Amino acid sequence: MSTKNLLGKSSLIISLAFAAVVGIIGFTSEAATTAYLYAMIELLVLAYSLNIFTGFSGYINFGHVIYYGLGAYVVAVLAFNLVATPLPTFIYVIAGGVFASLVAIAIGFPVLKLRGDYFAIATLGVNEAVKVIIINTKQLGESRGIAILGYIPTYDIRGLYAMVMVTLFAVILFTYFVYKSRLGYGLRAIKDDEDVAEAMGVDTRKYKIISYSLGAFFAGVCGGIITLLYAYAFPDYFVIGRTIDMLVALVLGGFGTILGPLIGSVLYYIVKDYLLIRFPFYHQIIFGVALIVLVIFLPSGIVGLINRLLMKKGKRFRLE
Amino acid sequence: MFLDLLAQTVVTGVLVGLILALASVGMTIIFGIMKIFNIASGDLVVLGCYVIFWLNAIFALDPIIGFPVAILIGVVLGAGLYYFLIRHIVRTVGLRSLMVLFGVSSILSNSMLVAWEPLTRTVPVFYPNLVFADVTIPGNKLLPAIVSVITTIVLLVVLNYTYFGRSIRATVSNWRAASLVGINVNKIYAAGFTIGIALTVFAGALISLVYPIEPYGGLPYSLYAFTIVILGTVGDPIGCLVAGLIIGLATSFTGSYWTQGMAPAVSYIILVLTFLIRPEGLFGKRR
Repeated sequence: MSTKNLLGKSSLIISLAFAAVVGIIGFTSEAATTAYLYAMIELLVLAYSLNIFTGFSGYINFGHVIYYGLGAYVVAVLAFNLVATPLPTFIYVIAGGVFASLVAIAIGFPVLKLRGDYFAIATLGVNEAVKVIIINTKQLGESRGIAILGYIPTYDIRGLYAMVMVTLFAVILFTYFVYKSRLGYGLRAIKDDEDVAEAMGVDTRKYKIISYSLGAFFAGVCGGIITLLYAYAFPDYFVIGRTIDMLVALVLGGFGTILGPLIGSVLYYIVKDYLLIRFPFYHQIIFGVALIVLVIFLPSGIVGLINRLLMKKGKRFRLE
Repeated sequence: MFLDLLAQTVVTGVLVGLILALASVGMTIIFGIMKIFNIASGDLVVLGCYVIFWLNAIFALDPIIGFPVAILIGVVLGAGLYYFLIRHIVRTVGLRSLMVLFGVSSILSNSMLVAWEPLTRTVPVFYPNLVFADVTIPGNKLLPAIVSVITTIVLLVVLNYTYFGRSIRATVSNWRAASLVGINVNKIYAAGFTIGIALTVFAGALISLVYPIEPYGGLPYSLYAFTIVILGTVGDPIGCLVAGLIIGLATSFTGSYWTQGMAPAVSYIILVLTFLIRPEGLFGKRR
């Protein structure tokens, strides 16, 4: 009588169905709603991309937004330099993702030797270092950033919305495959006990670097699309608050699950937006209190809570 | 000209380093005892700055008189935080304490923003400068640096020569063994956390004489403190002083001979390099 969870297949179907519904709403409504949903989908993609490494392996990454910012800058630089022979914009975006994942390998190679809190603090340091270096690089426009208006095809929110929707589908499917694969099992073993995992023959270092750079790829793609949307790349893309947004969404939904980032991001996005509009001056206080309450009383997130309730009722069905 | 600039750079680096060291002493005690990285440290520093600023602005008090007030506020805040929050999350996985303290940081910085406007302010107090030939030792940096060193020495005496201090050190090196020999570890946690927070707020009071104050200016102080704590070996106040000097000199030399903008980046790079080359810090023993 084993627990029935179908290896997360039902969770995958729920996630994809939700994404499809949001996608249709975004396409059929007016531009303001599309823009609102765009920001939500962006948070979703980022939360999923952080989940691939941080969620499954339990390593807290405070520097995920580096890859978002790098993707943004790559697209800006490419658009700026290839103005004579412009390519389709999605190629720029993919180049941004690839560049981000290459940088992630370079950064991850040394930094992933660290564990626990040390890793978290090191990523915080790397994040600020990258930001300060970009602010002081003349070729990247210093603190003014790079404006690419006129270097890219006409502004088209529906097209960019389609692009970010495709990314969302890709990252959800990808999360599912990682979850099911040897990589996912290895990462969860690392989360439980890294020394034991290593002793059992999990190549922890390889697994960590692979998943770290895969997460960076999707963050880079996401950053590339936002550059096209704003026609602008500037150092504020490296702001640590965005990483915190993703982490909170993950904590709220449930770390290392398929459904968690979805529930967490959507709920967090709507609540945060509401608080921002309703209490423009106090929203961070409310947010801080909510974060503390959440972490102390709901450590495994909403998915964990639902699973606990299901278990209490004697159901053998689990969300993943 | 060349020598003047060099001497001035060294003087500034040493003074700033000694001041930053005190902010990290608070963090190193908390991390040493409870294995919690106090990510709200920078916002507590800013709070300390505001204490001095407002005492000066409203009552025209000299910062020196404000220092005890800052310590008092730090003690109350530290004890309150411990009782209401930290008590529940000691000895849980790293993520939870980081997230809770991040929540504290968010509440603190936003409260200060709402209460005291998003302006950049400075404490308009000037202590006389000492001038040797072409090198100036600014009084506004010298006083806090001296106070910082004295505080660290007092702390060291307490840690080394009192029963209470020794039980703190025992808890730092192994809390299980400490509780086996009859030390009330929970009391040490409470006391250590309170002292750590009080020292951080106090360091903020000192920093108010050197740097301008803004409600959201906390993160760099947190990162400087992380760097100094890691470089100077976790749980070691003397290490903090030495590492503070190194970071102070590194940033001051970057500022003088390269650009001021890159100074924080140099410190963050030192942080990452320390992690990679010598994660146990300058004075740590390899396990």
